[in-house]
Amino acid sequence: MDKSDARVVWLERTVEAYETPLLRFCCALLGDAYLAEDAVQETFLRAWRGLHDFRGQAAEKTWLMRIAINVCRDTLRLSYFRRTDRRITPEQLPDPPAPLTEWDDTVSAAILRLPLKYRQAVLLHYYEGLTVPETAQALHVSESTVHRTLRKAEALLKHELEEWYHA
Amino acid sequence: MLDKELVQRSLDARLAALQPNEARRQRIVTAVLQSSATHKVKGKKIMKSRLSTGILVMLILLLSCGSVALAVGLNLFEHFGMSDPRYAQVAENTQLTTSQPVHLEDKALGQVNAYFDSAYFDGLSLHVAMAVEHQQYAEAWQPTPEELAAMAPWEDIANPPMPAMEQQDILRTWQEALQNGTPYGFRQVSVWFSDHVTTDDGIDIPPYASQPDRTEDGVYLEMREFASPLPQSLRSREELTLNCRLTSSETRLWFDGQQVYHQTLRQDAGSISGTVQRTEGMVRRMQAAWQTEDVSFTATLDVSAMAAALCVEGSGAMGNALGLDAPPSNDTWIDWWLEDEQGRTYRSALAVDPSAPLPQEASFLGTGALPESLTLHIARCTEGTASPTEIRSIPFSTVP
Repeated sequence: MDKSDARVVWLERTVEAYETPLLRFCCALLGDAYLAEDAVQETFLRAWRGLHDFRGQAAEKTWLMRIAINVCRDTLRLSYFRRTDRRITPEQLPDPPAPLTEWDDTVSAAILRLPLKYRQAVLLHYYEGLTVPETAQALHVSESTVHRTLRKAEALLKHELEEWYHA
Repeated sequence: MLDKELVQRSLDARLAALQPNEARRQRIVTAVLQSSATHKVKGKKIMKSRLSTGILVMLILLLSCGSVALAVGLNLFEHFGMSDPRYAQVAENTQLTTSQPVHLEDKALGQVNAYFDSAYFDGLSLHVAMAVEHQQYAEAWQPTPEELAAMAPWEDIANPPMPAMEQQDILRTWQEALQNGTPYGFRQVSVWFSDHVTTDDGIDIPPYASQPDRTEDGVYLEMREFASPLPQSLRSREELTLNCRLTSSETRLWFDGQQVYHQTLRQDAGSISGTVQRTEGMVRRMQAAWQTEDVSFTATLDVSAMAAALCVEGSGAMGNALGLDAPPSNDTWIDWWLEDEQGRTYRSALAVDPSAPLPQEASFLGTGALPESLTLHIARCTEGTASPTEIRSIPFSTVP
């Protein structure tokens, strides 16, 4: 297998493995499923272009999540994004196969309402299952900053989720 | 600590509608491979063209000798207006007075017709619609020994210089051939507009954005929007005569089972031109004056249906003029927009930079309708908060 094959195989494998996690992650960050699709495509495009720079210091998933965060931040900075009504917010997505319990509904809504810097840390660590060092790599901050951010996010969520929060 | 299982289950349930989708995955893979190829071409990483008229597609340039009147048909502003209502609103003011198309007879493409279809010019903004009939063609192809000898091996085999292609079946077969180590090749012939549109006296008008489209029968359409305000020397002209060069190219790729060979042949394919009259009475000047902490500021607005150009003057920085008491934090930003008497919004083309020293200019995208009055709204937006918090609104009055 030559390098060209390897790259295409890599692309197809990573798209298959991470397309849905990235789509959900970007939707949770952007609050818009439609824009999330664009963000996922842009994430893979940037990953493809930067593949030769990927040396494996970070796990593949961490690396892709880091790119996705940058893509979403770029999208959030765009003026049109701020002035445009969201087309498909998480609340407007089709109903899941099993109805959301009140518990799940409240927790997910509270997470999606968190300010961006807390939401992205919670999504990476708790939702995507990245370790604190991996979350720090993805966010390009120190591990202590991740700890502080997660503690603050927990405090914010605790305020909203008094009944369900596990101390 | 939060419960990971709880977070994952609740968000998975909330986002369950976002399921794996094979069609979407294919779109992503195709888009990445195609965009990567386009990126390469734009980055000039491809081999230099070896122009050889003997090998090049037989192009017979049949440039029209004089200006011809445009046929009255479906205006492309109406076409693009279906997705962007601004264009539909100004469509009646977009007919060109003259248009000089390019006709090419190409073996692969057939009869190529390229032309400016319509344009809108009001002194402040310029939008131009153009089209190419029979713009692209690709086919499976195997070089003769002589043709192969003229091609260059592509050393970075992981990144062959793929052209942007409409024919997905050829792209897919190419990828499969690379993967399976089987010989395959194709050639693609296309005609492209230059990125540069110039006036007849040589002013290169800076573009702002372009929106491509393609009809069902393969006609390539493009709406090109130019940066507003236009260069000072163009604003007062009664008409603009525009020129745009065309390039025809043939990209050849051959994989012999082990090595990729490549060749791109390019040739100037003439220049289209067209004349657009200025739409009269479509620019208004408005002004405003206000004080922030006893410091006076003034602003002028040049407004048309398609754009607004704002100039804020005074001492200090933009943040002082807008009444910002502190720089925005990581989770906040300052947004601004113009609102007309009917509640229509002029979006800002760029975000506010509170630290920018005055005077500062900014541009806004129009709504397609010329407003009677405008109010500038400045608001602080906070991530996670649905509605921005308005800091100040500044009404503008029309200058008689």
